[in-house]
Amino acid sequence: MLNFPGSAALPAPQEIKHEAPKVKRKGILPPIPHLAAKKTKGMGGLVSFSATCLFLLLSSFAGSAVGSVLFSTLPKTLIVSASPKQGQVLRAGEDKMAVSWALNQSFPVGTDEAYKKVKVRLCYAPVSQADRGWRKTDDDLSKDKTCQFDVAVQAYTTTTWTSFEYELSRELPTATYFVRAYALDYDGRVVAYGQTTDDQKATNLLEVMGISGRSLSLDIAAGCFSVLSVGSLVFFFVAAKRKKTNK
Amino acid sequence: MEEQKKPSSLQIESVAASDNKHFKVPVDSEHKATVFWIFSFAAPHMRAFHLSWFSFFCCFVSTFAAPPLLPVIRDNLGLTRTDIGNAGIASVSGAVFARLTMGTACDLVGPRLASASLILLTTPAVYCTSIINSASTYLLARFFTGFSLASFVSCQFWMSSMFSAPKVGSANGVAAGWGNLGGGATQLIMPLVYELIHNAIGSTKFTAWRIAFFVPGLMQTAAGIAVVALGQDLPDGNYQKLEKAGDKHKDSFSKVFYHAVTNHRAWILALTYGYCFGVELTIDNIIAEYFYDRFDVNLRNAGMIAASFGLANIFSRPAGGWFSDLLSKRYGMRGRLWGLWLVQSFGGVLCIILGLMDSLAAAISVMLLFSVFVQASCGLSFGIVPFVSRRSLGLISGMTGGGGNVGAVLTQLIFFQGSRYSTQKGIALMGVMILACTLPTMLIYFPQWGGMLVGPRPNATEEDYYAAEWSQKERDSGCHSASLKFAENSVSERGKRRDPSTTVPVDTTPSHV
Repeated sequence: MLNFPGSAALPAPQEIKHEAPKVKRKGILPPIPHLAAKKTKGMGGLVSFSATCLFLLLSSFAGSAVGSVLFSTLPKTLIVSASPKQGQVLRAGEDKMAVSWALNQSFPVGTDEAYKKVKVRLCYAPVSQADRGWRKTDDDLSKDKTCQFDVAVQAYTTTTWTSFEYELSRELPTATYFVRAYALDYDGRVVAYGQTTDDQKATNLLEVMGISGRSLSLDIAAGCFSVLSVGSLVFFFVAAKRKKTNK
Repeated sequence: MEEQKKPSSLQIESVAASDNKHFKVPVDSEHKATVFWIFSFAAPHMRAFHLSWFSFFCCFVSTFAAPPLLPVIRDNLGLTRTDIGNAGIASVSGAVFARLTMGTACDLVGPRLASASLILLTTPAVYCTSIINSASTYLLARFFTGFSLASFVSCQFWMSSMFSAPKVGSANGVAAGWGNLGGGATQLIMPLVYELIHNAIGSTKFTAWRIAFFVPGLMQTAAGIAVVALGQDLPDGNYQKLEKAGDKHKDSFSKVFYHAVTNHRAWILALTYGYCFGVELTIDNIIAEYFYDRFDVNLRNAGMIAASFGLANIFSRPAGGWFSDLLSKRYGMRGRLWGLWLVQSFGGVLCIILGLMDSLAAAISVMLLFSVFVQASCGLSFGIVPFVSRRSLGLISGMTGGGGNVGAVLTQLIFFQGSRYSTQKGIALMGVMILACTLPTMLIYFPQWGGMLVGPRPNATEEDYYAAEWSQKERDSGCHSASLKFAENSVSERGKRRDPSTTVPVDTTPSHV
């Protein structure tokens, strides 16, 4: 029900075409025999109002048609590194990490001709994807849910290394991650990538400890309102008993 | 609809004047309302209606407040699909026991105290959801919050105590339908509250969802206090007062229990209800994720689809109740039974089709149709329940309601737990289960009214049926007087096809009142 940072499908949003589904007005709701028999102002109006609302809801849904990019077809032309050591635990909202990327020099000159921007993202490691379909890896990048968090979008430069510092967002959940960089062309289409880990996503992983979201004031409020509920019930029981004994 | 047309004040006064009890609505010999004015707040009948549906609505909002926020909660607590599935089952399994207990409590202490106690005692679980920090505490919070769904039993019991036979289907249908609406409303309310806290106040998302849970908690607290402060058990007063005055026989649990569990009709209705309301609860837990995963809609749209399933309750369950009453007017109890079987079976067919749909638009259309039929069959079920027993009405309502939760638990365990079946295959198989479990409706038989396939037994009367729940000794001491009044007012269940001379004009206040 909620949209999350980085959950938007790649490639760039401008390529997504919205098309309303073709839904016939008739046949969404079955005729209700007794309502058909008696024309009533009150209930009939309620039913038609509800039917209209449901129809408007239906017609608001948009199917998206995206020119999909397959991850398996992308060349791994970028080298990416991040400062945390294997096994080091970083705290969301507090710690920072240095991220660097560069073109792998073993590729021929001109490989990066089409590169315009580099999008760096934080991605879930397999251990944090297990039994969590909402983080599943898909070869089709428009459906892939591995990399949900944007770290930075930078202009592509031919210098040896581009480095920057990233403060871990407070919105990051507790999980094991790696960093991946996507090279985008002039149309915003993904054309290459690089990542801090190997192809099996087993090395150079970073652990992030997310914030709990709990606070002392929340605990106190929960306690007070709970006491209010149970207390009001006790109050009514005592009042009823008093009334009974007074009579 | 005739119940919307209020009679003149003169008519009401003439009704009230014929008895020392002053009611703002026309009543029968049991002082049950013979009209159902949906927008009236007249005490005690219509006030009880509004208190019961709203308190049940609040309980539904609380119980299903977590699923629409799951995308945030699961990240915060590190939940897996298995954890979410287990918590979904826990949320509806807790209410099985609670509903049975609630039925007995209604029979013994009355719906007002039973309902308020349950609502206010489960509210701490809603508040404590905001301080959970692991998969196990999430499961426990959902389990205990789920107990509040048992307020459905008091809701139906209360309506059956306040409205006469020709209107009880409508009253039960609307009260339960508007209450169930909470399952859809929460899919809209919770994300809205969350977004407000997250964006307007600027809380982090992991704090925002926690604060959001205070909204359903406060709603539930307010509803519980309103029920105990403003409600009344019966048209003539509260249980305690009537028992003290000697106007109401104080029943024993063992006898109430015995007459409930030995009534085969109650068990069949519990089974069939397990595959209309049970299916509805299952869909509430899985549908958003199903559309998100299968059709790649984003989470907001998936939530809107899920909400539209629940929001259909605004008219579909009441329509089931009205349809039940309409069939009863012409065909009596046999009409009610046929209506239940036909509507629920068609719902099963639509459920199978839903599981086979490959396009988003078609799936949404079929789901909306399916929601109308599955929810209408819930209304039709509770058009029959009030006539199964007079003495054990509360416990039988509880057994039926509990059957709904058992159905939800079993369905989720069989079809939606782990990866044995894909979700779409699970939905299709659930449709087959609906068809199979609706067939036993044909075995429900009332000697005085008949069943789906067999007519009534000659010379069997309503009085014989309801008096049979009382021993000769109890009858001699007049304990069964309420049952006799109920029998007199349920003659309408014979329908127009049987000897009309034996029926009493139940839509008007009897002259002796």
